[in-house]
Amino acid sequence: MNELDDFRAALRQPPGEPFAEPDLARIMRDGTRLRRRRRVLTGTAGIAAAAAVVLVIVFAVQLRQPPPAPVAQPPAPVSATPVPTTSRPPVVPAIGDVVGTGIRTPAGEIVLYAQAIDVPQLPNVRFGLVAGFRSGDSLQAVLMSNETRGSDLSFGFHATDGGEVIRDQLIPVFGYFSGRAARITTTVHGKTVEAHLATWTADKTVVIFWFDPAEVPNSAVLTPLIAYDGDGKRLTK
Amino acid sequence: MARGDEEFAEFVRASSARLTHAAFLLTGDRHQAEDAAQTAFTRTYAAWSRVRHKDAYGYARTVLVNHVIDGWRRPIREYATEAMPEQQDRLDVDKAVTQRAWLTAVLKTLTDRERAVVVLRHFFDLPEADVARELGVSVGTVKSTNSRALAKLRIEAADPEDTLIGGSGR
Repeated sequence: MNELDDFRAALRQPPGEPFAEPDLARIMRDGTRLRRRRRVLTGTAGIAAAAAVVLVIVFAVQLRQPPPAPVAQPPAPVSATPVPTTSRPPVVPAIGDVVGTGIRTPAGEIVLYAQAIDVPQLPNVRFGLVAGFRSGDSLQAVLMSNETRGSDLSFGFHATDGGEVIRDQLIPVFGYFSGRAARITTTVHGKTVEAHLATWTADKTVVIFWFDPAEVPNSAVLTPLIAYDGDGKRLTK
Repeated sequence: MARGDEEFAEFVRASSARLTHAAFLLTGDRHQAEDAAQTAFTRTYAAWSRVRHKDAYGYARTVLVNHVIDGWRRPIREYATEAMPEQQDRLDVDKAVTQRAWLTAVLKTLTDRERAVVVLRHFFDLPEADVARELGVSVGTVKSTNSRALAKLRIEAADPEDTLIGGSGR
């Protein structure tokens, strides 16, 4: 045995006093809240109505439980350049333009768009943000995320989600910021990463953002997002 | 309790001591370590349906390490120092095992990255390539950082995977 082996053994030596056991009940409660913020969708744009019904059911279920957690552990965004928008009207009803990310997959280009939500119990949440695939005229919703507490347009970050493989495709971390953000960043492995930005055409005070999957491959690497205005002034803590 | 929840509870029971211990090595603070472990398990539970049949432990470890590293970037942090604790000028193997305070002190002499590399490489026993992936750096950076950290700790034995650089550093 050499010194390195001994050092490794020292590192693994149990502490003199055991660590506190994790609070399993709290873990499950908080984890459930995180989980509730999101929903992986099925079906295509052609069955948007069905999807909307599913969403209503989902939200109704949520309402029977404690208030959903706010945007909690969002991935680290990065900010960046204006997002290209499509000129072709989407098959699925969207509020405002569909935003193309420029990320091409065998299932089509990954796009982001807002979709209406009408849930009586959530009077201040009127829309959610959908990530989907666009191929020709076809628009396929894959993942929808929305605010589940408070107002969908309160100042700050909302509906940050993604960063995972769905239907064999890596969906980038995405979300929207309510406020005039000109730059959104996060830090991944010590490196500042900027998000791509696109102003929501339905409300110019809302910015849709997403990260390059190569820079933010999954949600586990995310750190809190930071938004800046056009003068470089920090908008969020 | 649903089956998935039962599996998760078992996962927490089986892995919490090790993950919390790793968090302690990374932070040097018991309370921070316990909070970090709690956060890592919460995020893992939120993703449980996706990770339960994959590498749940790896997922939790990644979340934990990133959470701790994120904490290092906040205003309140401890900066590494070049000064070694005065008790010893070399790692005495037997004492190192029993003198946890000394171990904690010497780890604090490392930079954040050196500390993360040491914990991932020598506590979790991850290959250099995995450490590089986890920290988002090159394998060369892991090699040189590991070598530098071991040199600071005055550990002379070569890391078997580090034959080009040598565990004793320069």
